[in-house]
Amino acid sequence: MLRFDKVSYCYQSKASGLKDISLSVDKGEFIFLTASSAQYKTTFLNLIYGIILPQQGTLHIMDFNLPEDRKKIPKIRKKIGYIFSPPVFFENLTVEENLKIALIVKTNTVDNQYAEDKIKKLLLFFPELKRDLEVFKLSATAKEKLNILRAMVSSPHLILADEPFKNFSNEEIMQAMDIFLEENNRGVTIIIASSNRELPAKFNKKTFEIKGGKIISES
Amino acid sequence: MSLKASKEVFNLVFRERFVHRLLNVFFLAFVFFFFFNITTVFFNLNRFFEKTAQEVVFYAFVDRSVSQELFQKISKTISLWHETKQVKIISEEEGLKLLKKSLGKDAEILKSLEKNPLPVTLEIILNPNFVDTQSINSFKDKLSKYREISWYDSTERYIGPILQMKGLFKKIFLGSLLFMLILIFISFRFSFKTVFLRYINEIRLLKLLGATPSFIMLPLIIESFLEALTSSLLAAMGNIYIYGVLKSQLHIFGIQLEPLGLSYYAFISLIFSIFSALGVLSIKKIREL
Repeated sequence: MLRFDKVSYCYQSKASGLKDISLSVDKGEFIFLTASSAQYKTTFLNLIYGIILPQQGTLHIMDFNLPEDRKKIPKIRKKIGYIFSPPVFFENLTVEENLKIALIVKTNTVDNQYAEDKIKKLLLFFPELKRDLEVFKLSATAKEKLNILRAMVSSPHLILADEPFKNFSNEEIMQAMDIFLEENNRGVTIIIASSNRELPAKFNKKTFEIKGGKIISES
Repeated sequence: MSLKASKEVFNLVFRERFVHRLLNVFFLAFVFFFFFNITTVFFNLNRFFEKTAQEVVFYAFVDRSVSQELFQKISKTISLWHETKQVKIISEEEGLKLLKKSLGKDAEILKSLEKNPLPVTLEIILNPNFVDTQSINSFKDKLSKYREISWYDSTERYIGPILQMKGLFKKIFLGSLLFMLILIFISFRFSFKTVFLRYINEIRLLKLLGATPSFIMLPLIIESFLEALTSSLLAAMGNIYIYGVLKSQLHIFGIQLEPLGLSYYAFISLIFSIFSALGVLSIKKIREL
């Protein structure tokens, strides 16, 4: 599914970043990526999603190799659901419209009935999200919930989650984790980047720890 | 890439663009209308000059002492020359009528004359294929050989200035067409840039979700094409209306106004529309986001 082959990415301004990362993630794995803040968790996920390209080494994602296949990045993105941090939306559009746009862009098809059913089903995970409510009217927590649903709308092969539980209560974290586990049971590969170190232990999942731009432990 | 998908997303994300689009249609329709009206004037002036430049008329004044028989003979000979298209005999009375008409109020002075001083005149219209300087000079030589023709005059002297004017008008027309195309190009580039800057975050997010530049730009290009097409069709309708009004009014003064022709409207509208689409396509920044 995913292989980092001596991948490095350094920020010019900081003269630091990810260095010489080599790891692989198999299809259907559930991975936690833990680190304290400013330890390049987002950089790691951005590399997978093609927002930034490896400066050294090769990143193998499904059938693509980065940076060689840079022109195929939109194709890579269509197969991945990314939970951005902070969440970004079409603020003036409704919850339903945001989910619909993500579905159309990712699948490149318009099937209103399918979209309707899919969105209805997704909203069952978080019934408090009102489908006709504009996003700018949502609370920070509600936006994070919508962020999770949007990443799942196109039934991706891989879900990247960047600090998905930032504003969640313990109950909401468990609720969100249930959703991720359910997706994982359907064969979806999940990578969650979080500074919360208790979660991996609690769910007994494979964990990579990043420090100083390097993977310092794998458990 | 599915155009339907692209259009669906485009309509959701850029739903507030219609007022902007509508205003642009009116603005462009006004500019195109102005252009079509100018073109109508140029087209008709050009036709007039073309017609005038092709019609060289010689007026040969035959000596009064020449018998009717000889006069007919001369007239027939001239009509057989390959340079001649048509020969018309203008009698003394007809000539006087024409002179009075051309003098207008000053025709009063003709009343003091005891008899008609005008000779019989031959109006010789040259074949349009022989209106070049060489043919005209050769024609003049032939006329000069007739001692019975006391004097002749021609409209040939107007051809030089007319051709000059025609050339100038052609340059002005091509210049204004070029100016229009540049204006359309800039207008759409500017208009799209405004939309682009306003929706930069939305475009960035679409790309983040996996949209390709063509997925985002295709509906914009098509819409700009249609916008220019609608504007130019509106302008063409306005121009046809104005043409109708002017034609009926100018007809009273004996001026025949010619229409531009549907193929011209279609061609120009298509050119305008293509340039508007190119104006959008020229924005490269979207690929860099």
